Amino acid sequence: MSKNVLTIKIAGPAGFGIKSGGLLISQYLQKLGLYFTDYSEYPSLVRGGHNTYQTTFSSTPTYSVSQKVDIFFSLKADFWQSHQQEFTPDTLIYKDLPQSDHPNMTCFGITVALLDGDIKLAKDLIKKTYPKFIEPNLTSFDIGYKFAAKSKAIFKIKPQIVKADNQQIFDGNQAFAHGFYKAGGKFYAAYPMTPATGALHELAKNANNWGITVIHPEDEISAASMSVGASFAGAPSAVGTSGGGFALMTETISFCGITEIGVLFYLVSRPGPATGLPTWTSQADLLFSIFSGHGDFLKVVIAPTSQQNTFDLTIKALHLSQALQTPVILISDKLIAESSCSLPDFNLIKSTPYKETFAAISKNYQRYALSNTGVSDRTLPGTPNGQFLANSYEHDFTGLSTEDALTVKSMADKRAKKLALAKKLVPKPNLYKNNGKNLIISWGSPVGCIKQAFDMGLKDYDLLEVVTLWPLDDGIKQISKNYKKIIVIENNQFGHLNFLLKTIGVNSDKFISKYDGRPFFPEEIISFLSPLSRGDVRRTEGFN
Amino acid sequence: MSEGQRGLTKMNKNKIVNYTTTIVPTWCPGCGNYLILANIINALKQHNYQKHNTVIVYDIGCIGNMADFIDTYGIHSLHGRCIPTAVGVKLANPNLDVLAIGGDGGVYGEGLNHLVASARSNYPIKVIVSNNFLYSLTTGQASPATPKGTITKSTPGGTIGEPVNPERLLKAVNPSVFVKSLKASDIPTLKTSLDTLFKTKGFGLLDIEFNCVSFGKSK
Repeated sequence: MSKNVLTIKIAGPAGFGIKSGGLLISQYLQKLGLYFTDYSEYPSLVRGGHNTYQTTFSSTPTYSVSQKVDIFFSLKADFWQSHQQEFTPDTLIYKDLPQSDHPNMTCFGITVALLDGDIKLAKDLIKKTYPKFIEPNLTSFDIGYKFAAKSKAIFKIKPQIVKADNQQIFDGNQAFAHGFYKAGGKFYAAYPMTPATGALHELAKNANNWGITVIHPEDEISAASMSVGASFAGAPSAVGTSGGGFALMTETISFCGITEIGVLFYLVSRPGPATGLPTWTSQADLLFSIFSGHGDFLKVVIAPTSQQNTFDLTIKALHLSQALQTPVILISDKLIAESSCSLPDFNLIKSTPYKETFAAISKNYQRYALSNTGVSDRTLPGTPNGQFLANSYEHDFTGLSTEDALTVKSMADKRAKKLALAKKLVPKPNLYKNNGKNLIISWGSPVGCIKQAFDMGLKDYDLLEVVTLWPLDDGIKQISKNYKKIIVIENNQFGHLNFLLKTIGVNSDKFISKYDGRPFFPEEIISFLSPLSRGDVRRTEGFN
Repeated sequence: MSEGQRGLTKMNKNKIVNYTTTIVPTWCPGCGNYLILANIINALKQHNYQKHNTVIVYDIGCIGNMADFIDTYGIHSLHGRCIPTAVGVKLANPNLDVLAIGGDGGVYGEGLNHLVASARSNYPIKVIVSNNFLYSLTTGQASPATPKGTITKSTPGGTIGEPVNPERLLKAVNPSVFVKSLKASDIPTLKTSLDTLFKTKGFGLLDIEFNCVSFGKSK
C-alpha cells in the first residue's frame, strides 16, 4: 500500500511508556528523513488511565495529526474499542500483542517491519535511549519485528526529503525555551503547571550552559514579581504558566503596565474554568489574556501556530516586551506545547539579543519623559546619576507619585501612544491562498490542522492566520472583503477571535468551535465545511 | 556589592551624599516612620551604599510612601510583593545592594508566603518592616501583628488571631537568617540592629515596632 501520509497510534495505561515509546518511533521516522507531527492524550494521573500517543508522518511537511489511523496498537486488550471511529477498513489493528517485557518496544518492532525499515537504525536508537536496559528492550523489539514479518513492508513511504542530520525533535515548550535563550532571555521564573511545565524543565536543565537564571518560586505571584524585578535590573525576563497561574499574575501585568517594565508572559492554555482539564487542550483564555490586568494600558498578545512558530515568535515577543516596555503575552496551548515535530536544530541558530538604547544621563534625566513613540529610554540600576523610581502609583516624569490632574492625563496619554508603535512592530496576519472564494480566519493551533486539511484536498477556502491577537491588525477587514463567506474556526466555546473581529467590523458567516478538550483534526474540518454538512457543528451560543 | 566597588566608594567617603529627594514626607506628625527613614539614611551613609548601586523595593502602605523620599534606584511595588520583587532584582544583578521595605500588613499578611519562602532560600536581601500593628493607610484595620482581642474598624468584636511573631516565625523557618524585633523609640538598639542587618550576608529582617499615632490603640 503506497500512501503519502501515515498515522500510527498507541493506546495503553499510564506507566507503559506510551509517550516514550511513541516518541522513539517518531525519532526513528525523523532519522529516516520523514516529517512528523505527534499528539498525546493522557489523564491527570501518574499510573493507570487511558493514554494515547499518535504520530502522523509523511515525506512532505505535516502540520497536524490525522484523526484516522493506519496502524493501531492496543496495549491493553479492550482499549481499541473506544477508538473505533478512528479506524478505516484498511486500518491495521493490533489488539493482542505478543507477550513481551516492554510492549512499547514491541510496537516499535512491528512498525519497523511494516515500513520495511532500517533495523540497525532502530536498534541504535534503542541503545542510545535506554543505555541501562538495552537487552530487554531489544528483545521486546525483536518479538515485535518477527511478529509482523508476514506483513512486512505493507506500507511504502518514500523518505529522505529532509536532511535528517540537521533536524531535531522539539515540542512547543522546548521551542519556547530555545527561543527565549536565542532572544537573549536571562531570567525565567515559573511555578509548575501543566501544560507549561515543559518550558521550566527545558530551561532549568540548560540554565548553566545558557547563562539564564531559572527559578521555581513559591507561587505564580512571586514568579511574576521576581521577573519584574529582574527585568528592572536589566535581565530580559519571562514567566510561564497556564490559565490558573496566569490568573494570579494579572496584578503583575497591570504593574508592568504602569511602571513600563517589559516582561514576557508565556501562557499555555488548557480547558477551564478553574482546574478544568489539566492535560487537555483549549483556546479559551484569549479574551482573558487580552483583558488581563486592571486599568488602561497597552499589552500585546501573540499566538504561535506551531512549534517552529513558537520558537520564532518567542524571540519576537521578548524583543517586543523590551522595545515597547510593556507586558507581552505569548498564548499557546497544550496541543502545540506538548506535541513534537521534526525541526531544524535550534542549537545551530545564532542568538539575536535585543539591542536596547539606554538613556544618556544628564542632570535633568527623566525616566518617564514624554516622547513621540510613548517609549522613553531607561537606565539600569548601577548607572551613576540615573536613579529613578519605578512606581506602581501614578507618577510624574521622574517616577515620583503624583495626583495632579494634568500630569495624570499626560502620563496615561504617553503610555497609550505606544499602541501606534506596537501596531508597526507586531507580526502581521498571514494569508494562505488555496483558490478560495471563502475565507477561514483562525489563530493558534487550529491553523496547522486547517493547513493539513488543505493538503488533504479541502478546496474553495483561503486561510487567514491572525498572529497578533492584540492589537488586531487594521487590514483584516480589507482582506475579508475579498471573500464571499467568512468562517472562523477556534478551539473554544464562545468564539473569542470571532468576538474580537466584530470590533473591527468583520462579521463571520459561520463559527466552528470545539471545546471538549480535544484538538481539531483535519478530517473534521473537511467534513464541517463540506456542502453536505448538516450544519450541526457543535452549535454554541458564543458572544453576540 | 563586590569588594572592588566598596573600595571605590571609600575614596569618596568624605563627600557628603544626599540620599533624600525634594519631597517632604507626608506622614502624620510624630509618626515612627520618620525615625525609620532617618536611621535608614544614616545606615546607607555609614555603609557607603552608593545611590546608583542601591535598589530599594517598597511595599504599599504608609511606610511604602518612603519611595518618594529616598533618592536611590527604587521600585514602589504592589501590596505584599516587595520581597519577591527585590529577590528578582538581586538575582538578576547580584552586584546591587537590595533592600525591601514594607509594613506589617504587606510583609506578614498579603506577602507572608514570600517572606517564608525567601527566608528559607536565604536570599541576600535586607527586609525592614515598619510594624505599627495596624493597616493605617486604610485608616486603621487589624493587621496580622495586631495583639489578640484588639477592637478595630474591621474587628468590632476584637481580633481573634494570635499576632505574628517574626522572630519565632523566621527562626523556625531558617535558623541561619538574621531577624530582630525592636521598639523604634529604642534608638541605640535601632542603630546597632540596622548595622547588623546591613552587615548580614544572607537574608535579614528587622521588625521595627511603634504605635500608630492616628489610629493606634495603646497596648
